Amino acid sequence: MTVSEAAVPPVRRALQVGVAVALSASVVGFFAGIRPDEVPAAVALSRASPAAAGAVRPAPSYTDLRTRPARAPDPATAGVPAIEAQAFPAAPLPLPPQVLDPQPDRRAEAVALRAKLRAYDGAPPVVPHPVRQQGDLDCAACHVQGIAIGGRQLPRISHGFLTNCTQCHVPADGALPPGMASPEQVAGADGNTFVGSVGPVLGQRAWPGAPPTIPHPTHMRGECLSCHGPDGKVGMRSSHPWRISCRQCHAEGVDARPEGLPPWM
Amino acid sequence: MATSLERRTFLKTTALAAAASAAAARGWTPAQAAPAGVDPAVAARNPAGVQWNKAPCRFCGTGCHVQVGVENGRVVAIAGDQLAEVNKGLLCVKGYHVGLSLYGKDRLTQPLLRKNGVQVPVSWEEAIDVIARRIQKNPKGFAFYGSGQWTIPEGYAALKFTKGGLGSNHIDPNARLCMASAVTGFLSTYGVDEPAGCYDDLDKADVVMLWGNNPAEMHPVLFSRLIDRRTRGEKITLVDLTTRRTRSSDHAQHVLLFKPQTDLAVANGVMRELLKRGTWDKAFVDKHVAFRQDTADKPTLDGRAMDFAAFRAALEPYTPEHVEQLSGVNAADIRMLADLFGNPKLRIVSLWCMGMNQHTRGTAINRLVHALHLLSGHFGTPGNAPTSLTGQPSACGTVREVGTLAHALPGGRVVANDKHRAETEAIWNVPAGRIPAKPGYHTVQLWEKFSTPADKGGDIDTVWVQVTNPGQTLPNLGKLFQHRKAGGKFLIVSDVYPTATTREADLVLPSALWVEKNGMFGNSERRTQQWFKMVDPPGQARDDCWQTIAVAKRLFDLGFAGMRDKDGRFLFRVTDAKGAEVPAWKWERYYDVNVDKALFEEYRKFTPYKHKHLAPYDEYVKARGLRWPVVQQKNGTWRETRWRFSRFDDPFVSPDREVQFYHSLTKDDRAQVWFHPYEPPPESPDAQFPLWLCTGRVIEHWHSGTLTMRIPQLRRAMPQAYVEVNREDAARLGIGQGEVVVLETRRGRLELPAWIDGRGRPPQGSVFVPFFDEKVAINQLTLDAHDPISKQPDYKKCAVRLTKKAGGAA
Amino acid sequence: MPMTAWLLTLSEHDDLRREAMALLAADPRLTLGDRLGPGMSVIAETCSPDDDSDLWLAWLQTPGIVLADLVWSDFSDLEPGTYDAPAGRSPRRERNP
Repeated sequence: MTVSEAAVPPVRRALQVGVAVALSASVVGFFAGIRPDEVPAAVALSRASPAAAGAVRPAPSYTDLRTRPARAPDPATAGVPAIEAQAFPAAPLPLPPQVLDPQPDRRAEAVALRAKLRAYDGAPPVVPHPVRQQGDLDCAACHVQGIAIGGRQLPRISHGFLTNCTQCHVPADGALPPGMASPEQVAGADGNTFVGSVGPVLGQRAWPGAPPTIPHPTHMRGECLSCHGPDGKVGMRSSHPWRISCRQCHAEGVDARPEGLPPWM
Repeated sequence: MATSLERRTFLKTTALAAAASAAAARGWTPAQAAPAGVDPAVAARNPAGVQWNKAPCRFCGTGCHVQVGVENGRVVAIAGDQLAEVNKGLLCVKGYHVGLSLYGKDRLTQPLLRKNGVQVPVSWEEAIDVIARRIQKNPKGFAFYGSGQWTIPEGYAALKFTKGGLGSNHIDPNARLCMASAVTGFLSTYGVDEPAGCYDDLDKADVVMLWGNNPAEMHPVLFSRLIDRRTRGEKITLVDLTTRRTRSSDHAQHVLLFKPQTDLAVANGVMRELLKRGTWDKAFVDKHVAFRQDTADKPTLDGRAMDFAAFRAALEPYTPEHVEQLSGVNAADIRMLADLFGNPKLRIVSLWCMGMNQHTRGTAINRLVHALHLLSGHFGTPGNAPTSLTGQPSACGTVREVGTLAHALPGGRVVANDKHRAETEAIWNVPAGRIPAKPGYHTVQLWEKFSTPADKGGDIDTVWVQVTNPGQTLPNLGKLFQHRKAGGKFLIVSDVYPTATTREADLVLPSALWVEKNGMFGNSERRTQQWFKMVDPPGQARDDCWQTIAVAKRLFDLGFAGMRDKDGRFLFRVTDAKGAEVPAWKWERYYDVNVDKALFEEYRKFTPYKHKHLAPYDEYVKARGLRWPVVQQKNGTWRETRWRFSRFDDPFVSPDREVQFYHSLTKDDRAQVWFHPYEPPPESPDAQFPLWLCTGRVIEHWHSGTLTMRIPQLRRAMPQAYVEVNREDAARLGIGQGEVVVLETRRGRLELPAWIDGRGRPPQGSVFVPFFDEKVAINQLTLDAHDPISKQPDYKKCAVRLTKKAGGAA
Repeated sequence: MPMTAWLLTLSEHDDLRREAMALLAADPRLTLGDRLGPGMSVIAETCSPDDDSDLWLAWLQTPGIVLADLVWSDFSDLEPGTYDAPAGRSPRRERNP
């Protein structure tokens, strides 16, 4: 089940489920079953079918859709014009394994890699490459969309577009030309005992297969594809990077005003 | 084959993602499901195990609010406060790392007293006793030197200690080096200090003038607030009037490079052009403005009146062509500026900071920028304001409002005024005549007297430095920071880390920092902010305010009369809810009661005099700061004021007036438009020292770097000072990138690596050095010449010689 | 094989849109993506750039497809020199055989 269903009235949802099952499982799988406007009028009448009138069959999960072959057409919808049935590929799309598989075992590695550039979870990352000291919009060339070049992933900006990049992001290896800074001065940076809060724990799932909640704040991190898109780190990538309305299914993990917060917060 | 298939599927995923983002760029997204029932401000945090609280940032005067995440008694995270109007959830790189400033491993954790030339650990009791006895011996030889980083209660306590307790006016802050000229500019123009406008103007302005100001690095959150409007499709004309190209220049449509000191000529040129064209705001000038100039003999704060005809005649020589000759700014650009200021439809904000303030004609150029706004009527409506920015978190709140200055008393009062002294003595309940009428030593004098032997007139023998680092930031250090050579002097320094100042100290006191104590700051837009202590200071470090009160109590116990009020009670008496005295001078009892609140409520009584009304302490607890005057409404709520002197927002303007300068110098509700001629700087490049030297800051470091150089991310990004050299000059002198060069002025000599086409680009004939690096004390080279009215020194221009280091690589 | 990503703007008329969708779904070279607002993303894998071009022309003549925007393309499989444009396909190519 996806969160999108919550937005659809129950009657339409039932209808939608019925149709989806009747037509082709993969339709729902790929288009997430939000196509009531494409349903011909005849289908609406077919709601009289005993199967639909009885217990509503649950929609298949994404996993089902990928693994189970498409079912035979439901006789209740036999009269539906063939074009819609044809309109959607019956077999699930082949998806690239390296993206499809979020590789949870590599998540810790990804989190550690991510933490290397940050003082604490939520800090603006330092820049792991030299930065031109004049002008800012150079950053935009690579980081507005994010790209992968030669095995190196350049993440897209995780927040809305802001112009003055160097306001928050400073080069990790220094702004000065190579060799100018004295090694002692650079080494002097190591005398700090601050221990930053670590990356978030995993989000909550309401039941196995449910979309997990977002376990971290989304302020300045609302552009999910920055970390979870195809150019994100292995272990953090989404299995479905072409779906861009992330918060349609993934809710923020903070569900109430936490205890112990002062009244002025 | 398998590889090829994988490759195709990968390509397909990329293609899908590209299509999806193209759709998103058009706004073709399914409606987003908002997380139900979650307040976005609360949702912004994920407080599993982390307790969050609010505080203003410890660094600059912008006054961003940060959220501080605390876990197990330590700060573990920082977030921009989305509910804060100043920064709307954004911070700069310093702000995001402000929590790390507490955890440098060389934090000072115990009092250190110099014995036989070596600093050795002593108890707090001994340290407090040493100070008290030293003061008791010669109270008039004692001076307090603080800063715009004092919290409001700390500054108030130090002021009351010195002026009310010791009966001395020898207290001055480092802010004298920072915004004194802005103060004299405001005072002599409007009769009262601090900007009439606020940051909201940045959201409305069509034109923003940067007068020798680089907010892209120094006030980045405000700069983003401005230029991010462009991303939203708004048009802003940014004019960068500067002596060196900076990161701010990169965003400006007009970069007008002027020769150092000639900003006065530029301002005069624009005003003359307005008068000549008749595009000045005649109605505004007629109703709200009077004209003024310096007295003939010696410049003073008040000057003397002049009439409009004389004003006009005085400006007459400043033709665009003449200004071009003086300043190097094209005559066409002077006319362009006159086009902007002459257009009443445009809303114009002027921003400035150290470029105008650290200027031997600092008061004058401040007045001229106000004059330009008043003359052209770009004043008093949202988006029209001359607004000075401050570099320290409470330069406004503590120094300017509390008045921790040699000449000042709380709430805009001055020691020279009999009535002001009497009012102050009444509130403090000290005998009449306690406060001397003669101002104490201002910063440069104070340090000069402290560096001079007693028998040669150096009548300051003990200085207590809190929250600042004069050993690095005073100008001309070789002259002003030499007390150890003078003999018989005693330097007390309260700080959090070893600095150039603590190394020369006779007594070092370890202090609590930022959220290790309660505090209140006041930012550049009159916003008073409050925070609570969140973590304990390390070791034996204690609050500066406690230190002041503890010394006062020790003096009291030693029988020093000044620490008693008229009724014989301790000057810093703090009581609990039942009215019983709390022994706040005992550290273990200090937090039994909120001493900050007690001091603030007492200070609040001073504020209505200049219409700087503050709300009760508890109102600030609830708010992300409030801009004064904060006035209580009929329904009991407290309302802040965003625009002063304008009826639509300022409750103190008469209902029958649009604009009213109710603290007018001339007592007729008019602001003063001053005339000042261009005058050459005290030291200009010559054959011997052929280049201009300008000093300043970088985005990574805050002031002397005591805090930011201990933050790994910032120090790695900018580990040391350098000298920015123009490419042509470098070629002429045969200097290569990164090569060590020698900088010499008449006062000192330094070696630094050269950075050609670096972050800033000084024009030919000038160099720039940042001052954050204590290993490279650039202020051994700078000039101690200062503005005659504000006494603020000029760090921005002196003559320097640049040579290749002998024997260095070619 | 060239691969291209398109953003198609579909007609607001239900019948026309359905017809267009049927046409798209029936084309084995296409992979259909999400419906987003009035549009839809489509990935095309064709045998040559000319096929791409034909596909585009065909779409423009389909009443249910209002606009077809190319948003991404990959020709990396095409070895240099392996593709010779058949003469006479378009005026542009004629000028540059």
